[in-house]
Amino acid sequence: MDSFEVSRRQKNEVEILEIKGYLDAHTAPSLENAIQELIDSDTYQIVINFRDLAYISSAGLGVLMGFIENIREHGGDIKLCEMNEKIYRVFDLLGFPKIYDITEKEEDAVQKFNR
Amino acid sequence: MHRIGWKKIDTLIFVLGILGLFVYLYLYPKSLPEGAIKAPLDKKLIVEKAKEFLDAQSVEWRKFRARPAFVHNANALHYYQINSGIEQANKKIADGEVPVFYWRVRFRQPQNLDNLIKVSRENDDTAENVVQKMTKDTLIVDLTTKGEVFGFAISVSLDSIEAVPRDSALQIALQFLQRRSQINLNDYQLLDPDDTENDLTPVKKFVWERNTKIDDFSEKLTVKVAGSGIVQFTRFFKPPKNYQASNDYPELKGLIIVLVFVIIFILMLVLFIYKSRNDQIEQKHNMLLSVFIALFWSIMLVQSLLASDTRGLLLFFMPLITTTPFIFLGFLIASSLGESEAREVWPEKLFTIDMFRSGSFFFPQWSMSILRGFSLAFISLGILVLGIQLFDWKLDFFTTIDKEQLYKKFSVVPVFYIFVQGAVSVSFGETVFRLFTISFLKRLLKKTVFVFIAAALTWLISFGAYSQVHFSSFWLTLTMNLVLACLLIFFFMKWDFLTVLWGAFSFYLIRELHPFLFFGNESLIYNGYALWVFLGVVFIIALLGLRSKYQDKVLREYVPDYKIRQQERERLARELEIAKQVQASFLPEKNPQISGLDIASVCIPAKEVGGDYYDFLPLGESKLGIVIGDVSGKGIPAAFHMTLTKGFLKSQAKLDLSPRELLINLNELFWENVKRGTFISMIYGIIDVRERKFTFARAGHNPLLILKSREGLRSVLPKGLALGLTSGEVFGSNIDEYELPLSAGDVLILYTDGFSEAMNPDKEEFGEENLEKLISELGHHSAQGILNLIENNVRQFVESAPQHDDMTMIVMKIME
Repeated sequence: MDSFEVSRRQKNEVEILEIKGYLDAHTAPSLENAIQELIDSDTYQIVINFRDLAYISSAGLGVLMGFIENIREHGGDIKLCEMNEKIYRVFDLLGFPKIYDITEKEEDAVQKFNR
Repeated sequence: MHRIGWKKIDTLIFVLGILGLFVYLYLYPKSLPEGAIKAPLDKKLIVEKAKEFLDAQSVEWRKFRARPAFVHNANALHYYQINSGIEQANKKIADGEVPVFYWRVRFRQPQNLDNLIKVSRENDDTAENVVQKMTKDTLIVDLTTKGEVFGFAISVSLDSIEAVPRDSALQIALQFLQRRSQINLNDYQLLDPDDTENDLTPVKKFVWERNTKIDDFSEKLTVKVAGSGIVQFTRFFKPPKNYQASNDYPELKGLIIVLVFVIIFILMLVLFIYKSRNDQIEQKHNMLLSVFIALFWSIMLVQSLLASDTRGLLLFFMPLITTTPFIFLGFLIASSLGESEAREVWPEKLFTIDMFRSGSFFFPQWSMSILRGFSLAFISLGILVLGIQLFDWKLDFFTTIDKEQLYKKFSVVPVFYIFVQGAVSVSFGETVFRLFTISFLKRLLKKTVFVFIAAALTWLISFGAYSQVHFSSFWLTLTMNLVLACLLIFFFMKWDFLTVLWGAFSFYLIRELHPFLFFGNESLIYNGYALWVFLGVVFIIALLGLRSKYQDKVLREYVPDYKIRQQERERLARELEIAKQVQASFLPEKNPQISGLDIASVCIPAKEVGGDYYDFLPLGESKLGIVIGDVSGKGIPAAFHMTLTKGFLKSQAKLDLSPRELLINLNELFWENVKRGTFISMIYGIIDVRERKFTFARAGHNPLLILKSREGLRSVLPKGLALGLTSGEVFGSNIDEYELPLSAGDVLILYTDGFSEAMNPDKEEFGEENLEKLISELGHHSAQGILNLIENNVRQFVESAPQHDDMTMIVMKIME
């Protein structure tokens, strides 16, 4: 079984989720739970850091989409950062950069909230 | 009677059963090896007598704990049985002077580990032999069943003893003997002292011998004098010939038995693990049953420990803690395997037990099994006593008494102990040797005769010598027990498991408890009565059950959980197979025929069903719509969405839309109808063979590849978001339409990421670059040729790794 981990930290009132390992149909629920937890505690400014993510499947991408409407309605957003080339390619093919802010550096993503 | 399926053979076995019972009841008193026991005193009285005696000898016993045990002189017993037959022997022993059965009271310090270890094996040794093995500070007193002391021994520390001359010691010994009026020393002859004895030896030993004139027994009378006190007085009665009974089988046979046991055990263990993995094991009921058996086992153990000398919490609980889990596990394996095997070859053997499990307790089949079980037990008992009568002394044949059993019989509440022990040993034996072994053999051999022979053989080489009916000769023991085992095997194969379970259990109970009616001990006779009351109640309930409503097999058939799960799995597999066929029917059956275009296509789902989709839409003579799509996720949900997508597409196809317009409409439909989080990437294009152009739009899908004979391979990636990601406006403003001019020999390739992301066992992806490089060298092949080569190449790369995503590809080549 490929492993997947989510860890949480905070930076300038922005919640940062660091994801690590393989994000596929089996592991997607743990990311889903992590985001749901944030929403439950009225946290809508979320940055997901992809630095340690090795693989993402379409089911993993689906998780991001499932929440985005709700979060934006609350004036928040999910911003994505520090993707490796391969993963960015997956996002890019599907056209995600048109819908999501994807930055190279985490601080840029956080900055976008503070502006 | 036909209602319950009464047959001629039932009449036969019931008649035989009644006959067997009468033969047993009539012959038993004549065949009972324990018949001469006559133990009128109870344990407390015996201990009192022993203490009185020790007081008279001024021996201090108060710091010790007294443990009485009922033992016998096997040599003498067998001498009598062989020479006079059991019935005569019993009379002689009961009336005679030679103490064949007697009490031995040991006085010991509590919590002595040495004693604990030694106590189990000591028995009809003379007190003299025993005293040599004794640890210090031990006293033993032997008493006849009438309570007369005929032997005692004290272990003493030799350091503190002052040696007296042999003559003085003799006087002390004679004085002691004179006080015991029943001994007339004139009949005896004093033997010479041992060579090792001299004036300085602290303990002087005197041995007298005589011919008793009682049945040719000789007697050895031993008195030991230490200092001025008597430390041993024993009378040992010896028959003219040695008749040591031996329950021991030769070593080689013992080895074979152990081997067979090990083989059966390993076989069961392997089968158990295998079947557990394949979910062919019923667990709930067998787990419960095993808990009961383990509980019974621990009750039994506690009883036998209470009866023994064991003291101290740790020593007491150690055997309990160490053995009970194994009993639990062993029975769990045996019962669940037995059930699983039997259910495979003859589920009807478990019918009555299944009925219990489904909560039905009163039906004629149950009654019939119990009644047949009674017949089985009675026939077996009849055969047993007939065997003893027939072969008796004439064939130098005698029954022996299990010493341990006898010891326990008089040491705990016998009926309870025997009931629990019977439940444990019978359930184990019948589950392993009937339910499992015969069912397993049935699966292997099929033919009834072979199964019967094999079952008897298996039993013969594994269980025979372990049977509880012992005779002097190994082979006789084996033969007698084989006859009884064949009966059990026959009853199991002819009828059902409950029949043999009850048969073996009631046989066991009667064999162990009926003798209590003949021991001549009023305080134990209740054990015999309890037996027959219990059996009587069961018998009456069984008779009443015959009149109860006949249960239809089909209506109330019990189906164990694992069977239900198995059926469920099979049903799901069938459904999935149907789903697979239905989905395959949504994909093009064959490639369209259009002049000037060579088309090849393939879709290989990773699971039974998948989320890849491709299709061709005929748009007139020279035009063809081509679509390829990949739904997010996989398996059944993806397949549903793929089906939906096809529906949406078909609804739009007739509207004569441009690819971009069509995809915008599709996105709108998708966005409105599908839950957020699901999306689909797609390319839709229209190839116009006459105009030699391909117009297409891309919605988040992998790039289109075009191979031109001169310019080589190019991947084309116009702007466009996947369907379902966002609503109309954003989608519409971000999708481009692209027009590719075509010329003869050009190859167009559309694919899903299952191809580019195919993984090998090292988790490396095949990769887009690799795919493009490969295709760029294949321009001269036909469409099908190109497709085959790509597929082969990817398969070689993937090796044994499982396919993790659907793989779809369309190859189109423009012809001259």
